[in-house]
Amino acid sequence: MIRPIFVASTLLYACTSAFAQADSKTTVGGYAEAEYVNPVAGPHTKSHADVHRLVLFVAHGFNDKLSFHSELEVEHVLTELSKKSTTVTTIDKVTANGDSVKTKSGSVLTDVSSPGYLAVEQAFVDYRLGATAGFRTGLLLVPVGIVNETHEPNTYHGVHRPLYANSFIPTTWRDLGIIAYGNPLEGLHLKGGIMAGLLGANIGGASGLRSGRQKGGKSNAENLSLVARAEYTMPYVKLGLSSWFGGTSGGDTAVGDGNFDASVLVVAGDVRAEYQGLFVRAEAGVIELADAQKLQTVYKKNPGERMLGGYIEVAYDVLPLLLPETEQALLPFVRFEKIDTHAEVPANVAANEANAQTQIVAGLTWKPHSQVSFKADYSWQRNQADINGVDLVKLGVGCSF
Amino acid sequence: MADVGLDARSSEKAQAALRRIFGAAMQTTSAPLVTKFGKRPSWTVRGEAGNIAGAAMVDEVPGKSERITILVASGPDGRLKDLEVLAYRESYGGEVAQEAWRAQFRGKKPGEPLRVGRQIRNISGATISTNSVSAGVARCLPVLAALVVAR
Repeated sequence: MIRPIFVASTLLYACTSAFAQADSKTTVGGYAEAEYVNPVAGPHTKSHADVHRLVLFVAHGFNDKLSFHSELEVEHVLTELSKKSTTVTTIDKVTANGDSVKTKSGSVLTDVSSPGYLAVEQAFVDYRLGATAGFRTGLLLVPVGIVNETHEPNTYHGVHRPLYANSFIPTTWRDLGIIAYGNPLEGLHLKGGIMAGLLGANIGGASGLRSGRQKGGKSNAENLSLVARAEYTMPYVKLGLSSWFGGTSGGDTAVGDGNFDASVLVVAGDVRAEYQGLFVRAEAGVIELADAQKLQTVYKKNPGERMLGGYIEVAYDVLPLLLPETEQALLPFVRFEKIDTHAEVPANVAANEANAQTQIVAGLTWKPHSQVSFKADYSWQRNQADINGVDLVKLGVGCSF
Repeated sequence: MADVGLDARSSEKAQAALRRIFGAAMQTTSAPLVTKFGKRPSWTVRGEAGNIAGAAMVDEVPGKSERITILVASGPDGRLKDLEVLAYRESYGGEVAQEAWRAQFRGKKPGEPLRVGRQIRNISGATISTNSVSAGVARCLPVLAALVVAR
């Protein structure tokens, strides 16, 4: 009789680990991250403090093969629509010599939404058919790159996720679909499936694919897209290769109503290596929009025809040098990133050099436990147009359980 | 009949693992151990000549949201002979079942540090499972050494 009381007890259980409830078939987990960001150089000088994300996982195992998994997220603490009163001045009279006399005509109420965001990030049923294969279906994370599927704050360095995982592979990228997975050989994990597609009407110059995501709320499913990922795990090294291919027309006949019209092709590779406290991670990818010119003609959002991105990150756990028996980790790290959402543009789009961005982040991650990170970093962000560059000092804390 | 606390599939897998680790001619005496999740099987193993060949036990460790069932077997000297993943129920991951990762535990003795990232390799993207299985093995080894002495 766990489920009837389950929703009410979610918050109470949230601070206990999955381990404490492992004898129950329903488990609760989650992750949270809070940050302080101080722009020390750049056009915006106001610092902010924020609970960036609080996410609760609820999973239920029906038996050893069938399970349900979900992730519910609140970003920026609260989401509400409130009314703001604004005094409105109107011209109600023009004098004989042509001067207008402004009269206050009272106030109007306008909708103001808070910066927050409440969303279902994942909700799927997994059917493990054997020890090495199965499928999952529902609202799924797109298996492209490292961070989209593994995005808990203790799994990456720096207060913010890599720029690559924000403006290039648009984390959290999710949609409805079905994905099969399996291990045909030891060390090799394959997954692939069909998902609701991106919307070309929203793919833009600066935001790239990010604004083209649909997120699974009544997604336009006119362009069923194909996605696949291969991972190969060797001692100390894990390699990944992902690809997405799908149309983006959304059935708009101005662009084309075929399933693969106005196609997007994403090919991205990644590598993670760990050796005796040294961590190296790199990702790189290319995105091709075959009909960027047509998208520009119809929607005028300045999409690039080719986007490029990549980063490399190195971290080293220095704590065992000082305290050989320690269970904790202290990792200085540095990450170098480059993305360009206008690497190539169609004839009817002017290349914007501001979309060629470089970021260097250097900082420190302290992990008193493998699932808890205290973070501090300095990030230097510039673009080729040399406008609106920023330097940020960030402090953060994150955990997952 | 399935072993105590295990379903038919895990039980079959456990028996196959024992035969693989200790040889087909082994003789086992089983006794239930009370774990955090209820009764689970343990075995003392004798060789063909009746000599003590080692001991084995089943334990469960937490994954991200589901339990991972492991079998840990050690020799008469208390050193780990092998580790087997009997059931992995999580939607993601599963690399802890790989031979190359499990192989690192062989020969480890009770009390030996098994820290992920140092003595034991982590698997990127499977940090919870690797930590959890390593901690489970560290917990089982002294129990197995005691089982060998007791019987």
